[in-house]
Amino acid sequence: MPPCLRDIAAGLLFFLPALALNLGAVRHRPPLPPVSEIREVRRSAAEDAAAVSLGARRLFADIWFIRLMQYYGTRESVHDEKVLAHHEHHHADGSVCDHGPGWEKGEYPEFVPLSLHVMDLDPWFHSAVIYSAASLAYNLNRPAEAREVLELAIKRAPREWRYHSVLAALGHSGEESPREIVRLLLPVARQPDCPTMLKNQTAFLSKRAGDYATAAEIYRDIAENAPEKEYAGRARRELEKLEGKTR
Amino acid sequence: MKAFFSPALRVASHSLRLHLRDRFFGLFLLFALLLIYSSLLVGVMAVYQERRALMDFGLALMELMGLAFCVYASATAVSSEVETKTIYLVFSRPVPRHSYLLGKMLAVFGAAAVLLAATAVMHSSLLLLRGHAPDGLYFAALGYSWLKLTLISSLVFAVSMFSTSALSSMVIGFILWMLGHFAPETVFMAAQAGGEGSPLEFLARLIPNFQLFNFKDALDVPGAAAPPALALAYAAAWWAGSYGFAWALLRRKEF
Repeated sequence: MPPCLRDIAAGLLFFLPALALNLGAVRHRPPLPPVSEIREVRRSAAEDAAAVSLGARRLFADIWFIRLMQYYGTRESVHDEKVLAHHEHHHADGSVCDHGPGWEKGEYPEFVPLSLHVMDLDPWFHSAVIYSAASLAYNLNRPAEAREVLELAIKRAPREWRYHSVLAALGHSGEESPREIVRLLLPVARQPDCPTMLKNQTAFLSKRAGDYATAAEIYRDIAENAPEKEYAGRARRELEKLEGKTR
Repeated sequence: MKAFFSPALRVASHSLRLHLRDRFFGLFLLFALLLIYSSLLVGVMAVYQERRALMDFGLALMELMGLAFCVYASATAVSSEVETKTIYLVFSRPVPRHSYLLGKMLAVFGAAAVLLAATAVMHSSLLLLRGHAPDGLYFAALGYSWLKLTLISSLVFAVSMFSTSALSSMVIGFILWMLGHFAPETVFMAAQAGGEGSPLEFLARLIPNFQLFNFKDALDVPGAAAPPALALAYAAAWWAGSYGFAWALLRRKEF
């Protein structure tokens, strides 16, 4: 054997303790969905591979969450067409037409795939999961898909209590009184990193259930802490309205 | 023992000073600081998730800049001294090769710590400025990142002893980094495909598992990273392996 090969072989022996440790250590994987369960969205395969191989799944989950918020925060072109069509129709004969519930809220066909993608990368990103589920259930009138998102999130992060609370609240959404929904959503809404939209929804439901003190508490939190100016402004107006009722 | 460590520490302190004066160190540091500063924009876009976004971007950027520096510094640590013939000067003095090698490795570990600390000061200041005080988890993530950087540095040291150029050592270093994060996934996929004991699984078992140190990727996930003692023992085993391998090749090298 040439001396250089002999040196390499001798050198490799030093790796034996590390390789022995590796037998057990290589099985260690974080409790995150395996690569095979990451669904591709918007040709994300290369990005997903980078997320896993650079050890930056959390970072990429953040990026996809920002994309989801930008997507949902942008008016759909189909929505503009609908508005145009509606106005033309309205002005033609002066009648008021019924387009069904939630027609003006948009369709956002990529909302669920983007939400699931964030969850595939980091199912412990509870704010993103709750934001998606609450938007689907309360803004887009798609409670079945909201349930689907939450059920998958619970499967992947079963100890995340917020998912259970929101899912239970969804189960009561058809009931006459929203009191039970408020009871389930309140602990989630009181978390500092709860999406403002869900806080706003909980405050609205509390007001509807006649629990003005709780509604005022949540609106005050939104008015003081929400980074979204529209929500903060609306909360201040609601607080003024509630002032007389809570005295 | 003193004869072993004393020259090693002298080589380490001298090399650390060189690393800190190196223009590449300054460039990596400056680039990291600029990127961390620009991550403020991402924080704004994340609206009510600003803390999380700032935290994740900062930690990831610090680690990636640290990786770039460590891979470069480890790949060139010995080869540049061979090229400039400085190594003759060192070995003409009573500096054993094993001490020289240890000193060189420790210097890169130290420079990685300085780089992480400098960027962490800037990042923590930004977090504080935005009203998000860094907590214990943040500093734990930094510690795990440092372990990860030292592990890749030691491996690149070992590779640089037999590779033909510094560039190839660096490329192998980056590949090892990616494979190391992918190792548990490879074992998992091999097992899923029914290939328990397959060549793919065997190869995956030869690669160090960087996910053990990937605490920054699982700040909210209980039990995601290895306990600190285990992580340290695992890193130490790889440091020792890489050091031993590099020494076995260096001891008979003729300059």
